[in-house]
Amino acid sequence: MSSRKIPILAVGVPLLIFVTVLIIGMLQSGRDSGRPGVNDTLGEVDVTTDTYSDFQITTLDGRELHLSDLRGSIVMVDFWSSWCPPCRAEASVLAEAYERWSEIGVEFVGVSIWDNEEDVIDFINIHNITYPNGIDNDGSIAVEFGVKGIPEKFFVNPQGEIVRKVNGPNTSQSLDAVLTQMSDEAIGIGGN
Amino acid sequence: MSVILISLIAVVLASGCVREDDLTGDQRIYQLSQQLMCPVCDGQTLDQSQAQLSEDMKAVIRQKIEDGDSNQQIREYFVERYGEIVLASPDAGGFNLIAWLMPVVIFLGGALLVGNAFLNMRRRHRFNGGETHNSKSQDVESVGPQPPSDDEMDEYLERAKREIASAIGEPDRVPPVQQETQENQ
Repeated sequence: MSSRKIPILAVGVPLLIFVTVLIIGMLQSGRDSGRPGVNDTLGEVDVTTDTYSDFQITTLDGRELHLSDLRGSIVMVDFWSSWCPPCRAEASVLAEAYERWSEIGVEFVGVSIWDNEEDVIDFINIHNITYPNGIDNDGSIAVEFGVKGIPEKFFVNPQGEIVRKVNGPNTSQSLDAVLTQMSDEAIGIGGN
Repeated sequence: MSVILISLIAVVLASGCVREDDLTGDQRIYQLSQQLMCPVCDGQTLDQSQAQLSEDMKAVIRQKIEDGDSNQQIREYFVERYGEIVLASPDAGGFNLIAWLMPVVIFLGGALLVGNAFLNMRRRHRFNGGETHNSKSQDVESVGPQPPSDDEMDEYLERAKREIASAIGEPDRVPPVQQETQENQ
């Protein structure tokens, strides 16, 4: 190899790698550049919080609710906002699902984020939601759970472990599938 | 020299070598806000972002500083929840080392390239200036065809003389043209 080619390779190869990485980074950053903070599509992702994360929230009827108070039950924690279209799309689904699943002891908790109380109350009334809901005014609960967008749901098993996370608007079928699997695992007839 | 000094100071400041204890809470919030990315924005750190989530994260940073957490603990808290992508610059370890070493490699390679080009220019300048040089030490590819050395020229003339004398059938006679050539040397 001639002495001229060595420095050309020494610069060219790293530069080529650098430019490639830069292009990949640009493509990836543009990939999620929709409306920030709204999950339009349904999908399960890795849980992004401590397994036993807890929170305290004041519900709209004035009660202090700790997530840990619900230990012993399967719990679905839903992060949502009244202005979020996917949240509106699934609101009646959640309300109806709660009526069925609460009969066997499954709990739902709604945590409204990036919202105001008046709109939250209107939303609850319009969609006949009966499960407890509260407002995360300072966003600390959302950050604790690593929430990036809405709606995001965390599923907690009876031992208090946060075991699953689902982004985007659910249908009755998708919600029932998760809760059925968790129920089966809880009574020892399914799961891993 | 002053450029090097200013660069060193800039590097020290940018690398966060200032002790956490020497900073106020607001200064630490600002420092961490520059080190953490907004998870829902494209390429914006918390201090650049106007997203509500960024404001929430800054509020959590403030709370954790008040609780006595170190900057490292706070960074780890966010990495656990949002992944490595929440860090504005990756940790210098494992695969991430490439991101730190690549600029250095490119800089050194560039310096090598410039240095090599400079040496070639100097050689060419010497050659054009008529300085004496040994053909074996020259980079033939970079400076083009070289004139023969004195020894090579003598050997060539001697061989030519013998071949011409042999051709005219008088091995002991020195052709006049070669005599002239020798005189010119």
